[in-house]
Amino acid sequence: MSADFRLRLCYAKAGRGSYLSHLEVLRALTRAIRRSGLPFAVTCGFNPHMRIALGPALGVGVGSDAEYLDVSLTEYVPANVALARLQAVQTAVLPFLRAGYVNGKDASLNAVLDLQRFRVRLLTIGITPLAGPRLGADGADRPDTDGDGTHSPILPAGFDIDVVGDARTDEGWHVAREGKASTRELSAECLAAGFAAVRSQEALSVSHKGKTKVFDPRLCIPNDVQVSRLEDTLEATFDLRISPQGSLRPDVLIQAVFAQLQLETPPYRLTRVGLFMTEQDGVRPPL
Amino acid sequence: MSESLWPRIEPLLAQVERPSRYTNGEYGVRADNSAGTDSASGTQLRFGLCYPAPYELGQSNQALQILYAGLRQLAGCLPLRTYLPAPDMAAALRAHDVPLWTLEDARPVRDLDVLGITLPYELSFPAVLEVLDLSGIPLRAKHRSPDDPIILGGGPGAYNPMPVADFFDAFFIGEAEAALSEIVAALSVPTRAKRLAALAAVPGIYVPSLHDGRTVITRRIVRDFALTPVPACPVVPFAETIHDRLTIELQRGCTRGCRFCQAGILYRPVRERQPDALVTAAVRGIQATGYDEVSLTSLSTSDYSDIASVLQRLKRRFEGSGVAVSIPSLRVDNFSVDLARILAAGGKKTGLTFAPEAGSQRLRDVINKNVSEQQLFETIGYAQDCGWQRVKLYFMIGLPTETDEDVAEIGELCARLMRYLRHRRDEHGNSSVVQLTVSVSTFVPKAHTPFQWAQQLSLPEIERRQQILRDRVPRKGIRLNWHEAAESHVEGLLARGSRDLAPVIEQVWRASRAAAWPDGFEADVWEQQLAAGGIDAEKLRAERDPDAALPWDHISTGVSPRWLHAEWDRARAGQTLSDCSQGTCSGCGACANLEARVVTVHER
Repeated sequence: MSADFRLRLCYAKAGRGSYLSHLEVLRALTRAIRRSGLPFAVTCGFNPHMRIALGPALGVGVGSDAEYLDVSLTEYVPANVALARLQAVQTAVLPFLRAGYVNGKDASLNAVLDLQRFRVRLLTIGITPLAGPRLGADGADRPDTDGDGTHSPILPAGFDIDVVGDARTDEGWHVAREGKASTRELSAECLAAGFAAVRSQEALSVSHKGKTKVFDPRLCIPNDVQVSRLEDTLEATFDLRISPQGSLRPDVLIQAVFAQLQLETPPYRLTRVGLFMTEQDGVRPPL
Repeated sequence: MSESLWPRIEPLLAQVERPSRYTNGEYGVRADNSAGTDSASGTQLRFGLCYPAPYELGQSNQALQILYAGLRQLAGCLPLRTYLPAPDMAAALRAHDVPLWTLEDARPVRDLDVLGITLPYELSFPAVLEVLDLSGIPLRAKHRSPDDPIILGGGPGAYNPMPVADFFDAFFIGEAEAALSEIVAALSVPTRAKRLAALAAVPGIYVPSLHDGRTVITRRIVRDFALTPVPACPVVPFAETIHDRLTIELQRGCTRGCRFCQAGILYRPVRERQPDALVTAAVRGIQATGYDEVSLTSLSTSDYSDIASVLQRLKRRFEGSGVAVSIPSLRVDNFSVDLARILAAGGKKTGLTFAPEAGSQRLRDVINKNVSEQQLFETIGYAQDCGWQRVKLYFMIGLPTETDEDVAEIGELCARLMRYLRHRRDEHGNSSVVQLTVSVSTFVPKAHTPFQWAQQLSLPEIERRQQILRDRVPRKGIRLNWHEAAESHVEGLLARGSRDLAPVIEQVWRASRAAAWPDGFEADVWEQQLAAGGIDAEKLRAERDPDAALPWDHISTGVSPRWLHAEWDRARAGQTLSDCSQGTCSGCGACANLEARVVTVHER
């Protein structure tokens, strides 16, 4: 076994790169490393391939500001030189951002990364109530308060239910009038309340491919969710624990939040904005 | 110039499978023609290239990669790719009224100057209509307006263009990289009518609406192919494609002379590239693309006269870098011990494929497949000695003069082969016996081959012969695969059909949009529409009178009709013909008519 220099690279899934699957990302990164001419190590064995390891997978359609990979080199190449060589041969949608060496004996990325941060940006804040009978937070039927044939959506427990459906402004819902048509918009406070409500649940069960998995949102979502109003949309930033037993998926959480609000989940853009490892003095990125 | 459609396309990506097929942005796509760049390029000729199948197939098509690379080198020309969207995306586009776009700039296909569509084979015809319809381009050339792009066909399906002649404005016959600058020049005139007239004047281009019905359009070829640089295939896809590797074209053409084989006629004569150029291209290509596999392609790779040395050099160059070298298209009679050893050393033994095509020596003589049973056995025996565990054999049924005995003989041959391999295992101490996959397809008579006059069997007769085979192939150690006979049946009708098939193709596409999709073949839809269109399938299948006119008589491959007639006679007399790249010329006419010659590195 020759010398092993473990180079850690940070890259982004930018713009259209978010539509790549994990396997496509792996293939594209491997090809970029090969193009760069860096002295990568090859596995021994019958079907030799590059010694490369990626961090936790992201779903198709999810972008990222900071993903990580480790690749083993057989010779030392200064990290900034390696980075420049990689940047010269990479496509714009998977840019390499940083590079640095880590101890070859360190545990793998997947073993140390235990926290991920996501940012979700709603592409529309117009609201569509879910179909079917509406139940109030207290479990009682909700009357059709505004007479438009739909039941008004409700707020999570703890929010004043009376603020819903009022045609003027209130702290829960904001109604904008444009000529005759009226559009309801979701407010930052309401979205934050939705996240808070899910976070306070004891169990969130998720069905995937016929299997049901139960998560404890109080453990899975360790920190407060930040919701902010941008010009014409809302953005939420939330942390999720990465666990070897299975991690709560960000899209599942978003679904759960909107189910809690009894609203259709609007189209959104999801970006992983950070991956972290927990150390004695707090969390830090792996590079 | 229209605006980018990207803001309308992107919201659809969340609803479809494998969206990376539609995003562009692959490594090697030029930044200056990526979406978002503005009309600075407005004066350029926007040249679309389309493979009428999904991205996974289209992006790995070697012909289109060659043309894409060639067009990029021409000043004033912007090559743009488009493929057939998958059914989920096609439905989303229709639901949201978004037209098909070209990947690089996300602008409508409709706004191209020219759209080149390759026709890989006959059953892709409905996919062409799907592409045109999704683009909002009238299906028939005569309904197109002055603003519509010129629809230019090419590839193997263009050699009998008549079934689709109504849908195309023009066809290029031959190796289009030989004429790209002429095509671009012809398109640089202002109006559609003038462009068509200019195209019609380019040798090798057939413009149905301007054709007099008599003038023969002769195939164009790259005469000095052996000396041309190996094109860099610049775009490295994100999505996994069917040939997800670097391909290096060793040579063009195969003159083995198998009488059923259309490619053997369409790409003659044999032109081998120089070994040094190939090795350099492979090494540079891997550096430039980052692929971990290079495939040395051609119609018959083991015929390349310096194959062992090229393979050996590449293996040495890529040692320790995790790059695999693969060679498809091997022949039984020259897969030598050397070659087996080089391929076996340290590499993946991914399975070998050989094509004896017929079970009996008599029938192999009829089709001019000059391979003996002994060669086949010894070759597979070597492979077993070297550690290969899987071998695939291709056979065909329905070949001219085939009898029930010939069909049964396929099964007998397999049984003898298995006995031989078991015996060899015991004698040579091999660890195991090769697993055999026997893949059986149906003979389809193709235009421009010596068998273009041959009868195509009816579907019930094919099924009867399949049953004979099923009864005779031993079960132990052999897997038997069939190519869908009904599909071959329709393929054959289209291959030798004429203009009256156009309405049938259109109706099949209208009746079943799935027909455009590679695995969307529906036999009953074709059957209904052939009947509704008044097509006499019996007549299309029947043996043709060698003296009667054929729908593709105005298209010439350079091979003389007289030679084809002689070959058809020799076939029925069971006389074989040797390969002209190995010495003796049989006067097919290709070299004389195309001003070309056989080029090999060494004597074959």
